[in-house]
Amino acid sequence: MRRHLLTLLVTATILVPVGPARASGDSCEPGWSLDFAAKPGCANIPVLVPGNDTRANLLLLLADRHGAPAPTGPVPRPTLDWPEFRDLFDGKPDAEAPADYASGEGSRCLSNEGGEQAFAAAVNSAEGLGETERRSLVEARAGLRPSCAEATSQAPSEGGAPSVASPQGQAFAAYLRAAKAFYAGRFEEAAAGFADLASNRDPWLSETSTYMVARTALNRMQVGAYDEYGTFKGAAAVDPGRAREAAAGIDGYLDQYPGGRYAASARGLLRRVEWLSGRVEGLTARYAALMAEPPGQRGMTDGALADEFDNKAFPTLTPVQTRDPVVLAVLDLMALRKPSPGETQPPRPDLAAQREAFAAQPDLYGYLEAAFAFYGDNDPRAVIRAIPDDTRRRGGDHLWFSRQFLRGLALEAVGDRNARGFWKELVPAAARPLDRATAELALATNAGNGGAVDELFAGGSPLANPAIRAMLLLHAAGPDLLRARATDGTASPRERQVALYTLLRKELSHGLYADFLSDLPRAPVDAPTDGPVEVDPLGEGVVPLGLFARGKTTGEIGCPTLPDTVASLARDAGDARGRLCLAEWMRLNELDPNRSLARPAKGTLGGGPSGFRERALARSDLYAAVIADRSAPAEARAYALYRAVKCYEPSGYNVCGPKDAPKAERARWYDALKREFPGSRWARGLRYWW
Amino acid sequence: MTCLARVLAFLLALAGPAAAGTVAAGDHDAFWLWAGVRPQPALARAERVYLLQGEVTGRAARYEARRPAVPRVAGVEVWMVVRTETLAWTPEVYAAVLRALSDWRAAGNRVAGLQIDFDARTRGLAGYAGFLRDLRTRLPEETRLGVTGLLDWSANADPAGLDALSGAVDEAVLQIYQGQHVIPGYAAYLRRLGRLRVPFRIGLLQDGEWTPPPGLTAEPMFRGYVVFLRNPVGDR
Repeated sequence: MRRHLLTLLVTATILVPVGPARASGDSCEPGWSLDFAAKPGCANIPVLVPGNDTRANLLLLLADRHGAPAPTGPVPRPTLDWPEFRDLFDGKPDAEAPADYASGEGSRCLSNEGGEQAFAAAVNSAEGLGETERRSLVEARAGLRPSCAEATSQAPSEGGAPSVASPQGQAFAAYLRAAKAFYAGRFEEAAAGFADLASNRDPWLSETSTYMVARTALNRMQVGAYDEYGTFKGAAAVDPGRAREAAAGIDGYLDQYPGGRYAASARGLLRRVEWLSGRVEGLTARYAALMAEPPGQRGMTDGALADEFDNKAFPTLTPVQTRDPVVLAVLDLMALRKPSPGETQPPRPDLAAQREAFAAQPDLYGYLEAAFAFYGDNDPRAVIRAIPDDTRRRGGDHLWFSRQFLRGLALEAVGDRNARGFWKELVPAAARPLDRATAELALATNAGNGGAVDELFAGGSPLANPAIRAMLLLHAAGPDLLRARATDGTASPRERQVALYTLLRKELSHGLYADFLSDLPRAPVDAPTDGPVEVDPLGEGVVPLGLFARGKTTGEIGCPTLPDTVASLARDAGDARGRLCLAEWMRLNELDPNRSLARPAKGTLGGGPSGFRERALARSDLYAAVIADRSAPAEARAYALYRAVKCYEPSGYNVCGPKDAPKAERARWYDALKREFPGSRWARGLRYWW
Repeated sequence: MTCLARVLAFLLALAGPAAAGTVAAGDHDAFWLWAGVRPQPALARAERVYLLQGEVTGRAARYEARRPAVPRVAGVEVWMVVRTETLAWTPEVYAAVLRALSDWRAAGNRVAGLQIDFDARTRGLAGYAGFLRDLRTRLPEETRLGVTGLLDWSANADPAGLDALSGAVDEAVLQIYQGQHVIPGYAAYLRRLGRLRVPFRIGLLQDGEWTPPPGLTAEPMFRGYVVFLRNPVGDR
């Protein structure tokens, strides 16, 4: 967790250690940065880093511990948000998974539906029951429709009591009475009823009753623990005696039936007791025991375990409260996060004091030492000394990949000239798809931002991830590379389209009109005109290449087709009508290169030098040029002034370009239009400025 | 980034100081209470509360309960909120949501409806409407259906999608904040609320900024405000 607004607001609440509740209205998407030192946004990589969601780091360590098979699902991009990350490792959730007793609302009716079927099966296979008794018991159970949330006990309803005569029939009937009392919240009556049946000779009846004794104790312990909104009031609201009683009951069940039919559930209930009692150490110990088991044995996926642990135990856990190396590693990495502005750095854990806990995992300890040097002491050279190049290995686990990745980051940090070569070796060594994509992101960031984007697209380049390639084409590639990709028959159709579309748009916005005219015929004559005008690097959708030849152009001043307009600009780049018609094409087809087209931040993929040297011209630049051109026809200048003012309607922000003109300038445009061209339809049609 | 996120990101980047009122919980009578936010005295005057019950996360659509126990709120209209990251709900998710609704009712709450909190990303509104129409058929008759929405819906969404939505829900609560920030320029968005044909409320952030645009209260579909409560500053 630890992600976002609400998380921040919530982390400090001692009362309810809740999960990663994101604020209503929050949204974020994983980005393209390799800076994983800061507080997590929503990006996770398959590397143990401070900036991962704590659950993602835990998942990596659990996968290593079990030697879990590599996730094989498709990887859309190198960084994933937590649910994507979890689902990639877990696969589809198991529909048969036991109800979530520990993290759910603890309604005692969670088990009702399944309980009905189990009861019927037990009655039908029990010895010593007559046919009529069986039918009557099953019907009576079906009539038990608990309203589980009722606050107070109802008067016992005697209607629907089964008609039974045999001793075993009466025992099953007694079970139903106890169950009814349980669901009605009459816990003392329920506890007594179940206790009487705990040594019954029917195996289902005795085991289930033993388990229900414990569940009844747990429910009794929860009475009064929540406020009217269902918010947990805190451990102080829980009677320790009742908590001990509940834990003893559950332990008793597990001792008697270690592999019993309710064992997984009983262990969940035990965690709930610990959580309600505020015993973080005990709770963490239970989670640590679960982590040591493979998912199949504990009846819970690694992802589900990570979610529950993070929700229930992690928020208040400190390193002195556990000796489990995996849990310690997750805590240690979190402590290395770079604080947000205005926050103070949390105290650094004493790693040396933890050494003993890592006795069985010296590699993990060594990795943490290196991570402390890199993220904590800003000492990348220590990392390079401590972690040798091991990119020749094949089949390494996540810790191996984390070590190598950290070495690569350290090489980058010291400006080592071999950093790019290192990433090139790491890419083919990374066999798991997500690892490979992450290594490619590192390579692409190095080369793409280092002015070497061309070599990433040369033959034999290991760069394969389509989204990373698209990012480089959109933000880093120059005209020659774009043209080469657009015409390379070995490139994917989408890559060719993205390259040509980017080339043509940038030629227009950089005034390369003759080049545009010579490249335009590369677009198919029947290319689509609809489709998102901003290319989504992750997308597979249509690229609207038809916009150039067949986009809307008539507009308010009756412009010709875009190729005709560009032809006149190619003859005279200062042609006022040509400028306005190019702007009309941008406006009518919603192609404004506004802030959404801003270059990626420095240091992130695509944030290096662009292959197009000069700044792109936006619509507002075209208007400004016409306004400044005293030789432009009156009609053209009037329209340019009108449009320049309208760029700010209604929000006061410029929608036609990346920068806002000062308000005084906008006022001057308005005044000039009214003063110089009072009779024009544009002056008459404009009543405000923004 | 989605189109919407980009728009918001650049608006945020430009956020200038604005003279505005501050949202005081005591001035309002409808609140969101998210998981982990502690109840506040202002709730005592509440006419309606929206309580986060659970989240559906990931493409695999896992239901995760966020409220540790069934609420028992006397005398107040209660909306159960489910936040979702996907519209591909599994039968287990529907069952969990319906069970929670019936548990809340059984506990004596005056449950008015179910509110879905989904980042519909303007472009996906048409698919969202279909999801909501289907969800509605699964709800008990007396249960209303509501949604949260970002103000951008009214500004940029295509009219067909908004119309479809109007027919699918009983109310929309439009948020003027993204994360913990009030969306700068919200006044411009609000001017276009005339396009909404569904009863709407404006979602405000406790201690956030708010100046009602002229004419808002005269909007025929405007029904009032809902304030997102936050824990006191010292706790954050």
